Amino acid sequence: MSLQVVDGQVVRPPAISRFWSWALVVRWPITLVTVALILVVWEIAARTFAPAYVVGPVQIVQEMVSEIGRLSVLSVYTLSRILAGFLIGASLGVLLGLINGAVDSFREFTEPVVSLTYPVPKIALFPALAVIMGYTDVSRVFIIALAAFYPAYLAAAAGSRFVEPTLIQLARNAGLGRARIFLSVITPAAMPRVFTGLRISLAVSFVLAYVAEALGGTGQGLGFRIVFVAQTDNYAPLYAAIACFALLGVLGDRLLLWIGRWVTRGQELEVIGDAR
Amino acid sequence: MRGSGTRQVTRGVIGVIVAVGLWWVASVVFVGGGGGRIPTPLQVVQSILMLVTDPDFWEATAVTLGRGLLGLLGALVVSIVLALLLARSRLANAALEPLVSILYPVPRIALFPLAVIALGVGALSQATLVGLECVFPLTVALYAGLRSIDRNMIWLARNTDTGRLRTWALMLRLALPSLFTGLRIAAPLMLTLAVATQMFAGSSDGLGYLIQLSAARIQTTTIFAIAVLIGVIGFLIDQGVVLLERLTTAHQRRISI
Repeated sequence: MSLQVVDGQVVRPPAISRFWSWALVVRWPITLVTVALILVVWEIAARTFAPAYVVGPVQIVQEMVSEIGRLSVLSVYTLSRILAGFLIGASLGVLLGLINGAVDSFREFTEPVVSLTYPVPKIALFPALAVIMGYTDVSRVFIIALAAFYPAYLAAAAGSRFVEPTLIQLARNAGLGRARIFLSVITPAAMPRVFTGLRISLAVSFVLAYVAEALGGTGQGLGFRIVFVAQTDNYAPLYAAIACFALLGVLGDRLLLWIGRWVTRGQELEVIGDAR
Repeated sequence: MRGSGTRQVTRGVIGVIVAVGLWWVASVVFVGGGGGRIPTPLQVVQSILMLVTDPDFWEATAVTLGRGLLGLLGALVVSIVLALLLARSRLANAALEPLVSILYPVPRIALFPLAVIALGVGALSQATLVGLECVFPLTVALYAGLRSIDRNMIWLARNTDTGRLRTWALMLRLALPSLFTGLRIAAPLMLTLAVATQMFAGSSDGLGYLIQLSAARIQTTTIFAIAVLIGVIGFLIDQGVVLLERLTTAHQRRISI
């Protein structure tokens, strides 16, 4: 990216603001019209010819509003499992990944273990865990953490391994110790990739949370709710619960994206071609 | 690289031995809340050997792969159309690109009960979910590839009166390496989703069902063995995709970055 100097200060090129002004004028209305069209067709279909299990957007929103209390409580249960698993798995993944990329000997010891265990689908292990530990929050959080670990680990390892060598040489010449280089040079430089990985980890956490709730046992949560109402002929609550879970997934991803942008401000962050 | 080749291999082997050792210790020491134990590595290996000689396992694998491939194929068709639209039409791009990026992080697995209600238990609902999951990485990767095509190529096509269909075909050929990037992301999703959807109540065949059957019989060892074998199958599929990429893009390697 080319940088401009104005009044002795480095500023971003104006291309971004020009892009946004163009995007606001031309693109947003088209997107809105498209979304509106889809919703209208969906609503009309739901009210006329579509089978009973197709519920229109109006009814879904009505159901979500009237069920807001119950859905919020269930969301808290599910989100706390997701957050616990994600925080444990992803933070371990980032930490070990950063070390893995920065320290050659550590990588040599751990790489084969990771490449051997990475392709094993974690979802498939959950029924075994449920037999061993029971359908408890321990086994649910454990499987979420396990699945969230790998994307974070791999992204952090790639990020810290491919840090611009000049940066490290510069820090070395400035007399910085190994720990200081790791914390002040490698870690920040790896952050864009780390956040790409974290977003995948979070997406995987949502999937595993749903599966871990939906597969069995008893408890509170959106996954339990979805499976339970799916057995009834009452379709609106099903749609409301699914929409709520989907909304949380999108909001969680946006939140992580914003945090990532804030952490990596000044660095370039991949925005498109993102997630998993 | 500072370490010599042999030292690297030695360290890798030590790492694996330590990991297996830890696993073994855990399987002896740890007793779960359900009263169960983690199977030992030896038990899992024995179980793997039993599974690979069991025709039922291969039948279940074929069922799972068939549904996964069906979903992947559908996703491939949809994503080719979508990516071409996004790359070639400014209107379609403005209309659909924000939708794709907003819908990308939706945990689509939660739609599965709805798919079952609409399409019934079995092949169709399972393949649909696989397709929903695969269509996003495929579209995003292919779209990125189509956008990075050298403009001169498209201008050349236009100036030589190449028809619209042939231009699209040319663009897809040029974006093939990106499509394979997407395929390498989508293939493990395909396998995971095909297995996962077969784990839910009502399913009566496939690897996911085999896993749940083993869980009902308290055969945790078998589940570990199946999971490892799925990992091996996933690895082989990935190698297959890489091979296919080499065969189909040999003429343009190192051109598209």
